Amino acid sequence: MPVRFVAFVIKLLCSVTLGCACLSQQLMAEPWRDRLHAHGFYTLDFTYSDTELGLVSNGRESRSYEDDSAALNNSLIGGQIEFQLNENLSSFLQGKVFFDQDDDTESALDWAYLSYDFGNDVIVRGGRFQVPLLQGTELRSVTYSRLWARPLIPVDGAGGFNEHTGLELIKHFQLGFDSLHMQLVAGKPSHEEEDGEIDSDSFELISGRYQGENYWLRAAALHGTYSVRGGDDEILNDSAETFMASLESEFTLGSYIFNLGYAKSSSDITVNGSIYYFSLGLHMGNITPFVYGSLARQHFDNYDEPPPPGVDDGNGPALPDPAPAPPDPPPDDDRIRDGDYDINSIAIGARWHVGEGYGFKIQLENIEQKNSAGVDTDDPANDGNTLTILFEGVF
Amino acid sequence: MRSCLIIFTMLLSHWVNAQMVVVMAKDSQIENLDNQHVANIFLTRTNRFPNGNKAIPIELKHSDIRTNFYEEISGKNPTQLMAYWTTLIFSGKGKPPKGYKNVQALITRLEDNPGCISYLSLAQVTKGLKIVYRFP
Repeated sequence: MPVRFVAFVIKLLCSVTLGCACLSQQLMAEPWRDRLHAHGFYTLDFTYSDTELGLVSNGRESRSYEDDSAALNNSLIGGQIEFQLNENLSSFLQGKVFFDQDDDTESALDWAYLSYDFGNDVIVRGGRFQVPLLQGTELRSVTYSRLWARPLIPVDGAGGFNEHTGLELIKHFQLGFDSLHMQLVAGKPSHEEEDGEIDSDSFELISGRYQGENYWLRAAALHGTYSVRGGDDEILNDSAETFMASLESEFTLGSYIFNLGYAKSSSDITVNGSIYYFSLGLHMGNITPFVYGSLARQHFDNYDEPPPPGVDDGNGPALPDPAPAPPDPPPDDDRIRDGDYDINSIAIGARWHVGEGYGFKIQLENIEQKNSAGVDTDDPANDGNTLTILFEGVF
Repeated sequence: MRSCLIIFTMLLSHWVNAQMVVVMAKDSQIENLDNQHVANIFLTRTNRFPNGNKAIPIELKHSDIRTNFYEEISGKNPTQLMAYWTTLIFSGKGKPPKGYKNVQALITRLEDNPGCISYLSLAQVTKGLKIVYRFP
């Protein structure tokens, strides 16, 4: 994440918040303490892997585990502040501190926006957000929000991208005890390609979440455009498109809680993918044993640059080559190859609510990875097990 | 006869203390709410009263009545309720009612602000408040 951009957003929001706070103090009878809401979340995560595996971290990144290794670097802590500037306007900041792949601490500003309440349950907000494509992409860092120990969502493909800067329109519809929550989003994604070959231009998203008495159903669809640059910064394609969609549900039957989800992405050039997941938990007092399974596929198709002038492209005779061609560059081991990266997992675990807002989870997971694309590791296939024990909470 | 009267008085006192009511300031424009509106406001599914005015739900922290109240309106125990709030809080889509440490501060806030709404036991209702919903 560009540090200067984050610093700019924080300064801007702090300035607006302070300015409006001073002004609103004159206008609102409500004491400032009642208008300030602060919350936090934390996770202390111990993960052991018996095989070399690439896993999704609670932060935002893919993380490699060595054979027979254990790590605490999935731990994190985060917090948020929401301040009601006046009856309609509020500001919201949420960030976290976590460990990166190299065990260095990193910080990230996940949410930073101003929100205006128009009444009639219509809210418009502008700033930096997490993309609301899947429950897992919005709340990946808040482990307490999900039943299972680790996020199921791959970093790329059908998991979507993480953040965007833009505008969101939210409308609630009351339908008796039920409610429908609609969200329209337009913005510019923060697509963090390390090699800088992808420039995200814009995207639009529509999301609906229906809340019933003991179930919810959520659907989302996204369209985005982006451009692709070659190694010499030449624009190769300035109108590539991506489509993503997701469908998720959770319902409770007596003591049973059932989750089901599906997501799919289709892009002109970059990662295509699909995710299926399910989980079944059984509330037994403060302990909830659960099982889950997931199938995730990311398909990589590297962009084939058109041949340079003078090389036979199949449309005519090649021009004579005036000079011998330079030797091929050495192969780049880090480059992802054309192919698939499948992660299939099945797990058993239990969640123990020690008290209101904190508890433990333990999870034993078998992960099968088929990796012809060479993501994170060159091993084409891995079948391994992980044991995750974590202490987590919200306050 | 005297012991019957004592038992009746004790039962009446227990019922008055146990019965939950939803209250607002005496000068609030809201006269009555139904259980749907109460549930939707306290679960922050809406932030408006039926007349369009802004609703500000507030409550007493860590009280037995709080547990009973949410069991009544949502069927959720404290653990399930915290899981519900977590998904809303950390995606910016809602937050639980502001909690007060003592009942006097809560009542003062209710009496001073016609947009505030809370729940109390019947015995705690003051002259500055009015009941907008009674649990059966």
